[in-house]
Amino acid sequence: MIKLLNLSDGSLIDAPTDDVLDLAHDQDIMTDAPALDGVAVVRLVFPKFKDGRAFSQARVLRTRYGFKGEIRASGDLLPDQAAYARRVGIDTVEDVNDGRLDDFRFALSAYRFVYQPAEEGTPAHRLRGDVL
Amino acid sequence: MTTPVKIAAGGVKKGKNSGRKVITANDLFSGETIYWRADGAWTEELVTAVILEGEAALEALQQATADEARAVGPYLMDVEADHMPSGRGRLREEIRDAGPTIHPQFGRQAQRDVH
Amino acid sequence: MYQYDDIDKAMVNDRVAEFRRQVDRRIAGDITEDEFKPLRLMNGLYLQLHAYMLRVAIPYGTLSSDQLRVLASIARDYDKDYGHISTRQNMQFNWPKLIDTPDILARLAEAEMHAIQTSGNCIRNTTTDPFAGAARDEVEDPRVTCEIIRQWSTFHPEFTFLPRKFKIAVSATEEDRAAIAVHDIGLQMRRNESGEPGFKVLVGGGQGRTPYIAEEIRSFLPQAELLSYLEAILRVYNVHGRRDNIYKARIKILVNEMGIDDFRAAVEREFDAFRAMGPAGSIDLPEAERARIAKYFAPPAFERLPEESESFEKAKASDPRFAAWARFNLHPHKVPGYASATISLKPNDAPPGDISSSQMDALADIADQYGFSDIRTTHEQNMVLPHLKLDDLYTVWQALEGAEIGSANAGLISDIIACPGLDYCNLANTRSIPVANRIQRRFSDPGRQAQIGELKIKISGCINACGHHHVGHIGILGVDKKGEEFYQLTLGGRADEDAAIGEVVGRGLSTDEVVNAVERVVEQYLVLRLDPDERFIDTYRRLGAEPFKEALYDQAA
Repeated sequence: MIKLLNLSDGSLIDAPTDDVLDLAHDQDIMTDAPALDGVAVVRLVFPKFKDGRAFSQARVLRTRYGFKGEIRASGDLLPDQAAYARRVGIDTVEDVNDGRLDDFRFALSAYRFVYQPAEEGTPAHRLRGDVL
Repeated sequence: MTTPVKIAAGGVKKGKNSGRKVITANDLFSGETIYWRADGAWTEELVTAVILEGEAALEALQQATADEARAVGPYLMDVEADHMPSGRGRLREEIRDAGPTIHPQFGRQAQRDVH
Repeated sequence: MYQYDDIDKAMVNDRVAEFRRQVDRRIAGDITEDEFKPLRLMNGLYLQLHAYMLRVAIPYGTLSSDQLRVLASIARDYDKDYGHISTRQNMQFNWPKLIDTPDILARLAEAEMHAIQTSGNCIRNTTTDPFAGAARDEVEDPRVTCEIIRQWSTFHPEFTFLPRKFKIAVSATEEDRAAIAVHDIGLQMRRNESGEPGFKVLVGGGQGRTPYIAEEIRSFLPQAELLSYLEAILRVYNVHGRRDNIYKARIKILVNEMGIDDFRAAVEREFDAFRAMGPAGSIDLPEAERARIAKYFAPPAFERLPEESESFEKAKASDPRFAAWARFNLHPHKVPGYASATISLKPNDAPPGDISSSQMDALADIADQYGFSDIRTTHEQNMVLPHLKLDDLYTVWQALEGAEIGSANAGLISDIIACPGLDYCNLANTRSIPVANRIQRRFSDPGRQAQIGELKIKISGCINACGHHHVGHIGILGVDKKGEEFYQLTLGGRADEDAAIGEVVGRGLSTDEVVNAVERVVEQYLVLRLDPDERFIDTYRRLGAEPFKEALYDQAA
């Protein structure tokens, strides 16, 4: 079992380590569809926090392939990136340093609004009265 | 284990660790140019910095790099025996120490010119 | 101009709180400098040679007079009483302290301003024509699109950790005053055969060490689908852009390596995927929101005036210095009886683009009294009062003169773009500003400048090309040779609708030689031009670099 930070509410949850499909950070899933049949968890990796490719991978998994399972982030994700991760469809973060839990939780609630549509959050223009 | 250390920055692309060096950085809080002293403290006075060579310079640079609480981006700059900047980075280091040449009223040159 | 609602206000206030905490964490040692650096950069905070530098966003170069006064107050209270206009139409402060920056950002937020994404590997400030909303030749006001892009790109969850920085420019005129061909994405507003609004889209332009003129990726993109098309481009770039080498990480390298056709195909595939999601999944902006934003850019209450102004003509006839200013610094306005004026920040012997706090206050007052409180910054490091009555121009100019911002040199040889160079910048190899000042001094005679006419000199202190030397009619690039400053000339670059990268001529010139070389090129032009209406760049286009090289070498030998 490993500890995961749940990006929806900032809680820590236990999770099994098996049954995970790993996608490399340089895998182009826009062109080559990953085999997602029966996959419950996809794990993306941030080799360095400045490498934002996994943000696109998560979004493509959700929108292009309609992936409904858990998307997990591993590697070098900064607390300050937590809300971005949640917004592109990442559910959980692996191996969060205990000393940084508060910073992750702060980041998850740092902003009251968002401008653009993504996988999570109501874009400002919809709140401004443009009800579909 | 030796971690790679920076011995030049900015416009000076590839520094060589030969000759006299002073460790320089910027102050975290103010951004001011600072220099490493023999006692391990930082100073804004280049003439009071410690001049080092070879392994001693690299070792001190590792210590200085670890001091993130005060300094940002330490590296080794070339100096003459009298502490004056030298080598390829001479003009750059003169400007870092004194201030912009186009604004003699700003930077440390402003105080110095008074005297 | 755009006014923040409660949501926009919350965005910038939340940003200030976040940054304040990030600074505290850095000081407490909870994050390393390597982690902090990208966070401070995304708030515009650089560390330069001898101080921090804060780059404040001026979205698409539009400012209210009150906002300009706030910038003046920041310069006064936290800096050294001046600001500097950058080539992205932003304002830079060269001396803030780290511990003061959260308070500076808070003061900006109160005035509906910020420093968000003015640096870092993210989508930067969108730039446009400084005469937007006033220009006689525009299709429509490009700032509506710019504001839409500003909101969309602010904290974009997918595109804030790109391979490299990303710059978008929008032009609404055939004459390109926003340099769209040297941007990562250039948008030119146009209408299709059915009269529907949209854009010609360019991609992969840029300067730096590998300059490229952007290629056309789409001849017409419907306005309503702008954001999904931008997302398609950004996604292809985010996934495929090179991350192994910082010098090859811009989208121009990707477009060049893939080839425009393959790149276009990849973008179209993503674009189709967005379209396939239908209205429910659409990330495009609903028309109602576009209309809401557009309302803020409605023209001010112009008066009905005759095309010509008697008092203006009389003042020109009686005051030759004013006549010179009116000749070079005015731009035609769409409304009869009005003009737009370039406020030159290029007096002799001052850093190009610098403006003092008191000058900012003076300009704000002039804008309040005569110009609907509307002020612009330009990518050529000047400012603009877009809406002035011809009847008021003489009074306005006298007030500008009183504040020492009345130089009559817009577009002339002394109106030089120069990067901060080695006087400030960590990346620079050589100084730029002193070279600009020496050229200004050599050509200080206003009569001689007028005789030469339009000539754009652009100076960069290193190969990163922040001074746009590649697109200067005469470009000057500083190179370091064993610690000495040398300068390389390029000729024939231009950033307009006929954008071109300048051709390198000759060897590197010493600090002493470079001004003489510029003068020889100019003298040769005066000999070669067919008539005084043929601009330097026209002569260059007609004859190429050869005759200019001859002039350089003849006398250098």
